[in-house]
Amino acid sequence: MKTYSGLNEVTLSVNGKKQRVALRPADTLLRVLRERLGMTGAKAGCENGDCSACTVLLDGIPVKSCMMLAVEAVGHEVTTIEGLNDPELQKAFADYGGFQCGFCTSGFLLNAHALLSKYPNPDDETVEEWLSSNICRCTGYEGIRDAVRSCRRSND
Amino acid sequence: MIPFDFDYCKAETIEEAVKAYAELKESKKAPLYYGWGTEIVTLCRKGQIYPGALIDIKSIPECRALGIEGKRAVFGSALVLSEIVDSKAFPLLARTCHGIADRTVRNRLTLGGNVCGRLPYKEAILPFLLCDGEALIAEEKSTRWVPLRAIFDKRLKLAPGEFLVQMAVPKEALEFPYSVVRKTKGGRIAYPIVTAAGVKVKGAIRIALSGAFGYPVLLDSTGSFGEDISAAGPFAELIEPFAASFISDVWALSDYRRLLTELSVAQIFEELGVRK
Repeated sequence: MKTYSGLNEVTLSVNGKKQRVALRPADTLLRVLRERLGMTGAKAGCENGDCSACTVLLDGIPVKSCMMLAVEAVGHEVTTIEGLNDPELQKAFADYGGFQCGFCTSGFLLNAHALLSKYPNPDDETVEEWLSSNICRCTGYEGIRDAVRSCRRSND
Repeated sequence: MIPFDFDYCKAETIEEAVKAYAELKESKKAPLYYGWGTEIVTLCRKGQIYPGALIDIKSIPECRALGIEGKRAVFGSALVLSEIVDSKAFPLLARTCHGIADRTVRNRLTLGGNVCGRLPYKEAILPFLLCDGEALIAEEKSTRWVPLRAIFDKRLKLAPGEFLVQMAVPKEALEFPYSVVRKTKGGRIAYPIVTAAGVKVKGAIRIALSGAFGYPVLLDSTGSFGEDISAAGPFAELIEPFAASFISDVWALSDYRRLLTELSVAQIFEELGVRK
């Protein structure tokens, strides 16, 4: 059984790159990404699992990095907004006014990318369900929703 | 940020997990079993719990089970709710879990975490209460299947060192006609004022509730309503022992909660085709 205690040096795979990092078992993934690895794209919003501004992908699945321990990411692939390569979706957010202040945008983009990867042609209800995980305090929901809908494969 | 330290142990087998618990308890480490931490991480951050060690059980194969095993339909405690919803293996459970939290939380909230957590709702247990569910409990030297009704009273009664490995229902329960009604104050993503779930078994209706009280409840001693009686009559009678227990909080006062509960139960009776 693998046990971590005190300060540990571990290898995290972030955006396809192996990184050695020292962490405590009590460190959340959000804090390690931002404060040890300098990846500030995942935002510290509520840090309570409500807003999803901290969303990252763990093996392609959107998770709230404020609510999981960094040590749990060992052996998994973490994708942050810095590593997202989805120009079609990112352009759609710009074209449809899918962001205002931008604080929530990285979380929305990663969540939407995961949605469209799992369901290339999601119905409106599925889009609504997935996007309702994230909060936009500028209330730019329509633009975000339209941007995601525009990337459905049925639009090809 | 979690402002204190704990150890993190990743168990690969049931034996490793229970052994680690015993050793950590012996060394006064105040261990907790751990899934993906949606509740434990939050409570640690808020300073509401101070575990000395977390024993991660989500890599234990038995805790990841999903499927038919003999006469049982089995669900591992480390399955996340999104997996259960997406699998549609148990439609009543999928429908109930779909109402819990948001999609991204459900990607990490486990069945065991929902059932064994500190929050009073524990909505994922309703289908198991309704369908004569069982729990597979790991203890120091073995595992044992226990009828849920024998071990669940307001919460799962686990002894120190025990943990929930799986939950199961008889495989025929996967086909029971069902209905779930969930009432929240505002949007869909909120704690329930009431979640009512019902199944129809051999012409009789069973009802279980979450949110109405400080704990989930199966609404009678025999487990079913007759099909040929009105909804209001048996409900009023069966709810009576709990009448003083309806929660009053910022989301709903007790009278309003009771009204929504009655309406939800009436809707279930109607959807399951009970004569009025």
